[in-house]
Amino acid sequence: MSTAATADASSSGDTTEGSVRLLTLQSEDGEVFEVKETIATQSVTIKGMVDDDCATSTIPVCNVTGRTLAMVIEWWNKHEIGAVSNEKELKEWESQFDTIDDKSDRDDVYDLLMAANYLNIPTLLDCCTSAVAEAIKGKSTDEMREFFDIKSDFDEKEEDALRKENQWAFEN
Amino acid sequence: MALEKLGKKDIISRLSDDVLIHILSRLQTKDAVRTCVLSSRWRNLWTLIYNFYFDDGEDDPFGRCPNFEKFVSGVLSVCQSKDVHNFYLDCTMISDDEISHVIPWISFAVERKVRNLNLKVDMDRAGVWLVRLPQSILTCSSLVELTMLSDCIFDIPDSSVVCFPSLKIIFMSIRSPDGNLMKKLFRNCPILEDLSIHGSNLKNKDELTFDINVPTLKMFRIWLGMEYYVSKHKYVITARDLECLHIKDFTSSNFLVNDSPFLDVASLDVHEMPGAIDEMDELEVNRAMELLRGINCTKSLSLTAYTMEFLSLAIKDNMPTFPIMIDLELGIKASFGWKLLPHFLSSSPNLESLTLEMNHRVECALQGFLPFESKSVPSCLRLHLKVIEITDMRGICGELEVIKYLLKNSEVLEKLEVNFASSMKKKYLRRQILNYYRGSPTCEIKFI
Repeated sequence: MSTAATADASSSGDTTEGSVRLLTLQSEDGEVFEVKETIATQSVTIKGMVDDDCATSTIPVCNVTGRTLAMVIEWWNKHEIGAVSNEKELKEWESQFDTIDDKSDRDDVYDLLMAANYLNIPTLLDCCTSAVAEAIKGKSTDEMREFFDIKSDFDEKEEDALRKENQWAFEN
Repeated sequence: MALEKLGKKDIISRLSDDVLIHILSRLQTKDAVRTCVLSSRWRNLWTLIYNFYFDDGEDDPFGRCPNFEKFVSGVLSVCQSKDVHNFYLDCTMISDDEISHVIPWISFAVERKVRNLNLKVDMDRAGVWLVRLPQSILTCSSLVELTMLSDCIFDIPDSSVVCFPSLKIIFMSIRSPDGNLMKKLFRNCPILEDLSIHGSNLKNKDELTFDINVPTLKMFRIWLGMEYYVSKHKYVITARDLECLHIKDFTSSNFLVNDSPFLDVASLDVHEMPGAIDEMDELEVNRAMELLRGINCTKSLSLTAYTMEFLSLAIKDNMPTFPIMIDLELGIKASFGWKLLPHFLSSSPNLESLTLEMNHRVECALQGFLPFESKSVPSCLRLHLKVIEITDMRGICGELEVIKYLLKNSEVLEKLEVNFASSMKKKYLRRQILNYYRGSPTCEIKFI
């Protein structure tokens, strides 16, 4: 997974570039990004703020680091209408996000998932949830716990009871 | 488990319920249920999933699980989602005892406002058993997409009631269809846009007419095969707003397209029965040409080499005109492809792009080779043709002569792209082509 800061930090507030309004987003760790309104409104959350006229000053993006926000902006840029000539090219570009090979990929996807959820970006949310689903597929319970660092708080008896309750799912 | 008790690295369990439900809804339902033992955070999450993918494991190397019916009924009994998006049911190995449960499962999906229903319930070895869908499905206002991978029956009343008020997409696989029922089904879908029919080895003994009369239809795909035989069935397509038509047919069926729809794209892969030409009567021989006549108002047309072969049986001076055609893609076998090409060129006055896919799968028998002959230069060459693409060129059976002719007579040509089948003779062919006279001085020639 790559990061690319596509916007420069500059003065906050409501600025324009040509006829397109620029929005200023600030990550949790203080990085500031200027993004075209037409692009940032791929986020349903931001679109709501723009529609309600609440996007005139710097918009704080809580729980999202500058590194992740840069990835989100890269996502928006690629998904802007007309940015990529065809659907196939877009899918190829997206494929860097849709598989999780190791725990470092996994953590990037977590970061993007949380950002996509907070900012409500349906396309990104779809891509990341499907990446996690792919990683779950074909793993046994123990493998899943290991890969996702999930610690069980069931004792053996409780777990056995659960398995029995949903027996069919555990056969084969 | 309270969130603060979670392990430091266990970030996934801290994700909101909404996000985790999205993730679980993307899994086979069996896999989603298995997450219940991960930890108490996960125990009941799966009961909130909104997609259901049930597969009784016919393809599973371990064989089919005996408790499939119990599992599905169990899952649905605790499911909390009020809005089901996708409901897939693939139970091709279901037993007679279990079959009575299928209808309640489908009814469940309908009650929970299913949007995409995908059914494959196909257990009778003789192919006689049909799925009778619950009556509630007819009025299901949430259903947008319906896939039936087995013959299904509905009890559609004869009076013209509106059924499937929101249904836009149908994919159906048919084996012993009821032509009358299908007609009623299509007629009663008020906003159907996209219809795909997949039929193999139709078991019907009677001659059927499939009356596909859908004024709102935009996309129609049909696939009929695999065994070669001359079909008795007739498919009548009446859809004046149709935009895309794709026909793949191994059965030399009888297609009739009414109303000359203005199409964006049409593609035909229709086969004559090999060696059956002597058994076919004149009407059957003309079938491909009649079909072509019905779709002549298309912007883009793609015909496979087999289709060209079928058409060549009927070609006289009866080629329809293609008044708005811009793109043409033809599969060429030298034994008849070159015979048809001049007809296509002179019938396509506005052609801008021509793709010739050479098909050498059956080596060109020289005695069957029909050279390219054109009496006068078609107007599309002089006025419109900008791009020519030739794929799998080998330099045999008249290929070079055709290129020479096209280069000489295409006066506004911008690009010729040649893709060679192998590197043998490549150098020689390049040199030959580059030496030909070009009617368009600005034409660029590209080799791949």
